[in-house]
Amino acid sequence: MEFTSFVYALFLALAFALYWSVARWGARAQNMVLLLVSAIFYAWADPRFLGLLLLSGAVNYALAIGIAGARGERAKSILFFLGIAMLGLLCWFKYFDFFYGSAVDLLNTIGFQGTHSTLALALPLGISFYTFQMLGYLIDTRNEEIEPCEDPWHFVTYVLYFPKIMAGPIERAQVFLPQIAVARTFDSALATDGMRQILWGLLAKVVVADNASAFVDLIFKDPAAETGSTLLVGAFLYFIQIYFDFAGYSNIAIGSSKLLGIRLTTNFRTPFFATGVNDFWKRWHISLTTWMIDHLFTPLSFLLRDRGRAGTVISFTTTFLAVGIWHGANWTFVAFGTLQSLYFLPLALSGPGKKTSAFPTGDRVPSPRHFARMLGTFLLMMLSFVLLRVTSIGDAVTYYLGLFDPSLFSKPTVFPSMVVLLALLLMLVEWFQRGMTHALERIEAAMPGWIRWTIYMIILYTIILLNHTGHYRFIYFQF
Amino acid sequence: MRRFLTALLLFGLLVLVLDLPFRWAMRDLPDTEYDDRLHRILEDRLPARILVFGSSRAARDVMPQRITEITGSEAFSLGYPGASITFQEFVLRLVLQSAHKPHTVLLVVDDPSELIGTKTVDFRLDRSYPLAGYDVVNDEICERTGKSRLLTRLLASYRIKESLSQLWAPPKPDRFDTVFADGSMTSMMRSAALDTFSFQAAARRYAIQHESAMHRDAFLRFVQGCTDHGIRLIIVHPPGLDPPTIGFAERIAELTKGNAEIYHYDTTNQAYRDLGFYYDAPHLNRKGARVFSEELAGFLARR
Repeated sequence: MEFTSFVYALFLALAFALYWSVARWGARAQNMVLLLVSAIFYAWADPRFLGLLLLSGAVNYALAIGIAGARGERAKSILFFLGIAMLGLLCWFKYFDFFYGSAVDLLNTIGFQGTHSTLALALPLGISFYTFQMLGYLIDTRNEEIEPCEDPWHFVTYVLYFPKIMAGPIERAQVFLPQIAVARTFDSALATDGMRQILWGLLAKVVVADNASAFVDLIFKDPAAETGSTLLVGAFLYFIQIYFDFAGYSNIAIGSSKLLGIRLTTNFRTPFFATGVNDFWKRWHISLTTWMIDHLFTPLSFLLRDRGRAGTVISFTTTFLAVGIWHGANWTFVAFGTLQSLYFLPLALSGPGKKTSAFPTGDRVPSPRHFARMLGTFLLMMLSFVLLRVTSIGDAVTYYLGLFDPSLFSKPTVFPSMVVLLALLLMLVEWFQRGMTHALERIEAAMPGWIRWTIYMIILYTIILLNHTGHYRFIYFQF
Repeated sequence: MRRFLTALLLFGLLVLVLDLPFRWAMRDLPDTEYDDRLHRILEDRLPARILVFGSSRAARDVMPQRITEITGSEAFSLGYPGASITFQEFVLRLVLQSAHKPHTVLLVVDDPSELIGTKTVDFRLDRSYPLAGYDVVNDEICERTGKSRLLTRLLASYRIKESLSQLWAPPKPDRFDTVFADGSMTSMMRSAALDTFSFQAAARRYAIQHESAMHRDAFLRFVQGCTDHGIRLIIVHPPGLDPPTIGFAERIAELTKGNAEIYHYDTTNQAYRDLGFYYDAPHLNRKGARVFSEELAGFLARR
């Protein structure tokens, strides 16, 4: 049951009705409904792993209480490493084949005979997201930043909550748990905003991302056969596809949650308008980057604080490698992380005084300097995201070599003007709404009702009429 | 809460009201099609007793008019260039649901791609979209594309979105897509590829491992559909300039399990070695189609 399906709309309507109908019985009843509908939602996609998810939730719940109650650093550390082991088991599903295959390749290279064999394990849906969520919870408990959750039902609801289980946002316990600890009352303004956010998310996903995907598939299928200009179009289309796909997903997830009176973390903040690589990562997949900064980069930097700039370089390189490999088990993701580190290198070497400034929210038109920075950042990130789409390093090399070929200045053989136009249109709207959490957030205050409704209808009928016929899953489900 | 739900309900009603023009448009869409063969089946306006199925080789190589003239039974072609067996099986299902069922079906097979599928043969969604107003067609489209069946029932705009532009820009047949009164699409043109054509002596061997389960299942359903309705099914191997794939005819025969007759073109007929009878290597031109159709009609008349 995907967010873009009509079945999900019916599911959400039923969940909404059931959830608010038990509101008079308090938080526990509401959470029970959330747990029930979340379990149905997850089992609908893949019932095999619901038990595993519940089990790992239960173990982490117990471990966090153990960590908080343990006497002495030693006990805490033991419990902490048990938690890591538990989560490592989940990572087993995702990375075993990759590491095993790479080790065999290495052995074969140095003269030993290794045999390739894979477990070919089915990947539990959302594993990268809920693993990080629980890992963060244990670390925060270990660091005494949060108190462990006492109520097991609250905790399992936190783990399983359906709007975020498949692809995030990677929600912090300290943000989520207090919200479900108390009974929620219906907030009409929040629910209406949720509906608007869902509408904008659907527009981004089914109209722009899905229509772009058909052309992306075509171009990335055989990069060697395409001209440089076509590969440039492919890189551009994939960049807008992955953004509108994931930002669209996030908007639907956050909007769905608002209907239930629960606020989730903002995941994107108009990253195409970033004025530097560091600025980009403050705007792209925010829940992951903040997680990485808090739980990896900051502790590492602290650990390596005596090593000056070398320590900083090691810290962010490790962090970006982790970001890369978080996306999946392939050397292309490692290359993606490495490339991001290289992008960051000048900034790290120039010292803390050198910071790129974000474009002021109030200004309508960027200055030439800001525009040049935005364009440069866009191009750099666009080129790096090719690594998330190709299937091997060999394909990546082929793609980049083909891209920087004299044929870069020829007319592209594929140019879906309609998709590009729609993407630019949405980007334009986002430009003017860039201080907001989503593009339709301010509409209520800015426009009279009949204009608002006309805009909603136009968006809805654009979705109905221009959605791409065919089934395209959210890209981040694979990560 | 009440205000929110009322607004939501009003919004939903407004969506349905705005959908009404699309509901009206849905009725007019089939009339924008120059190729009305599917529409005729759905409207029970295809009383032919002999039907020809297949892809471009059925459409271009067989002239049903000649078969009608020779056998006395009205023949009609449902050959669609670029149509895979999955589409042909769907068309057969439509025929079997209609009021007029044929007594004979000729299935012209593609050597060697019939059960394998290629980029050039697929389910002809483009021919199906304008007829999405019919539930049976719409359901098949939903099955093939992943469109929500439930939503297509609710919103006509969603149902006909792929062919909506046909209302103000109806498609026009090009020189390859002219459908004649007997349903055929024969051609008098000659492909430039024939200028450099040379006969190949060596034939390829058919590779069962390349078969697609989807195509094979559709083929089996096609055979079964004819058997269940007591229709005489003839699998037709048409002529071509390239040597037939070794093992293909045997594989097709094996899958029919004796539920179909097999007709192989007359390999002794020298016309089929004459480039003047072809459009390109796999397709006859109208002159060649006439010869082959007379041959086929003779076979039908004899048995």
